[in-house]
Amino acid sequence: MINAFEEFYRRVKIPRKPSDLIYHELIGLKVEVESSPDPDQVGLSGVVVDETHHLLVLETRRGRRLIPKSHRVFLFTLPSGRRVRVLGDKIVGRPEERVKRI
Amino acid sequence: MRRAVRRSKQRERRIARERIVWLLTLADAVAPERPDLAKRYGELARRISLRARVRIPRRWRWRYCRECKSYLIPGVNAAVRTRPRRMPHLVIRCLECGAITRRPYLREKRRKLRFKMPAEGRPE
Repeated sequence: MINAFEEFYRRVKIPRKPSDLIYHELIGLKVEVESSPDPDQVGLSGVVVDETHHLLVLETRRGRRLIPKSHRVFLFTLPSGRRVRVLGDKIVGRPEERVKRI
Repeated sequence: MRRAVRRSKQRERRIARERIVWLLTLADAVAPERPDLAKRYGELARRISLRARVRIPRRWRWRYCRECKSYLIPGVNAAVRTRPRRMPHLVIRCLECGAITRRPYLREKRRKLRFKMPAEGRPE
């Protein structure tokens, strides 16, 4: 994992509400894949380093992985330490578009 | 009903503001290790600001090239020089497109002279 992300996680405390998560920024958050049609991806965890319409780019201990958002369940860890379960289908969409979907 | 629309609009812009601060702080944190990602985050922050009609905070205002709008990281794709004579200003040169912007810092200098205080922080 990239050190700067760890550092950022520890140092920067920008508060955010769990209910805002699906409209909020996912980049920089720690995430675990809780369920997936691909058994290989279940239990995978890392930091979101980039995001496209359909994919999350995770930086895991074993390098970079591209995980489709749809049909997965993710468990995000907020900087406060709180964990939030999110249905992947709810975060499909371009990152800048998601904020307009409230 | 109209009130509900306004409230959701406010929420949207509040989230946009939070996201922009989040992204740009992260961009600066990862810039030394991963300038490519930092640039991407800068670009995303700008896109969010355009979509949600939220301004980029003043701290980061000069971090975008006036001409090509790329996110500037001093030492990577931007050169920042001070010019102290006459009208003191910063010269910010975008190394992506070569455009030059100048930002005066006369106000900061005057303030320093008036209070005889050490300069604090960076010229942001």
